[in-house]
Amino acid sequence: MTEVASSFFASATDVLRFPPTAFPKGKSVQKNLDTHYVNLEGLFRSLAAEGFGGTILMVFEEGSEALIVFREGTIITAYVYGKDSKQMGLEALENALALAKEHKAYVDVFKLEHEMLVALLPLLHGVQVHADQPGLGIEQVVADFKKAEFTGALVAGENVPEMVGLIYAGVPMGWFDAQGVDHESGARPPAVRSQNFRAFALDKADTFAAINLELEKMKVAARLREVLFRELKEMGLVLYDRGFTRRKFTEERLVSKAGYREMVGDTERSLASLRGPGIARKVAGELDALVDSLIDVGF
Amino acid sequence: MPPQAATAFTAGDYLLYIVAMNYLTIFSGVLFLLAFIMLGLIALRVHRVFAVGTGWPLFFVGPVGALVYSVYTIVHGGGPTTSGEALAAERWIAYGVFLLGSVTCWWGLRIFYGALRSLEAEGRKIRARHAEVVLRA
Repeated sequence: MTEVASSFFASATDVLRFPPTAFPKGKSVQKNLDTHYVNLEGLFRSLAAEGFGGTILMVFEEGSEALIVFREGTIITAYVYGKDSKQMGLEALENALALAKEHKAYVDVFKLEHEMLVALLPLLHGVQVHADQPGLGIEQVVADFKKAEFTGALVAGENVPEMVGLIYAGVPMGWFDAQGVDHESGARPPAVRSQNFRAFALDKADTFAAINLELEKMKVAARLREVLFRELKEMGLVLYDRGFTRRKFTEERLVSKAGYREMVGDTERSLASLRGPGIARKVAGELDALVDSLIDVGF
Repeated sequence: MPPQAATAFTAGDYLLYIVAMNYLTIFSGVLFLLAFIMLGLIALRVHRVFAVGTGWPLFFVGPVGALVYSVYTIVHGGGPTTSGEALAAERWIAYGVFLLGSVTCWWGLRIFYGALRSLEAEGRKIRARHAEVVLRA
């Protein structure tokens, strides 16, 4: 049996030329949305509201590509493949949104079942698990993975992916060509020319989400509270809490960037009544800078 | 020496003990009034922002007693100017209003202090709640 052991090798995007367009595509939900006509934040907000799980593929006119991964209505990772650089995680998400503001892009939305998503993520954040046995055919590799109840992605190809298989608990969920299109061969792997197979699995559970937008929001909220506490002690916290309740927000992690901006506006008005407009402007400036550090994904 | 001569004011004494003291009384009465009005404005701001009862009108009404007392002191500063009966009534009014004003200010302070304490307690609860969330996370 092929040994499937954890290793410290890089992920698929590091070892292969793996642009977002080559990633396995799920069921197409939206196709060729032009960012000139579509509000990206609105699209994200709508996907978040419906608890979407899948990928958003963005192809920019200037040549870059971006992949944004949603799980249960929140963005968990992103990948940008540019002409000169690659980015992953929060940096990639920020870059993708910045690119979308500057350049026209076409956006495709693909829905992926949970099992497929879990098997796809190792391509971005997993590690290569060694399955290197020369002369071993793909059928044999798949059989070995079935015994080991492997979950992850199997990639055939030398420098570029010729074929990607998504495997969940040893069961192949789908086989995808170099353009990420499903071969529709079911559990049976299609014939491939390459004899070089690489398998990628999530090394640790915490690599599942490279982006934790909710945690980022909670961190910013904590800093907002710190500033208000510094200015007004406990009364600052009361001001924050009442503003939060007045806006009918329930949890800090669920408040959007726009929501935090509204709260800063409310706080500035209250501070102006309490301590005068000068101090209010100064504190609001500080709070605004904190909110600015949040990435605006629309939800 | 006749007793009248011993108590008679010289021009300098009159300036010091009557005129200057009258001005000081006016000045302190106005300061007293302004101090409480400022406190009242702070209480009014807290009331507007946090929607809590701070008793702010009491800080505007209370110091009027001090002002009335100041006026009485100035009017009678140079000695009795009316009959004994009327003077007694004026004294009752002046000192009574002064006492009432003081009690009003004290009552306002008590309400304001209570409002600030309750806001402080609310803030502490909010702080503890967020600390719990951080610990859970």
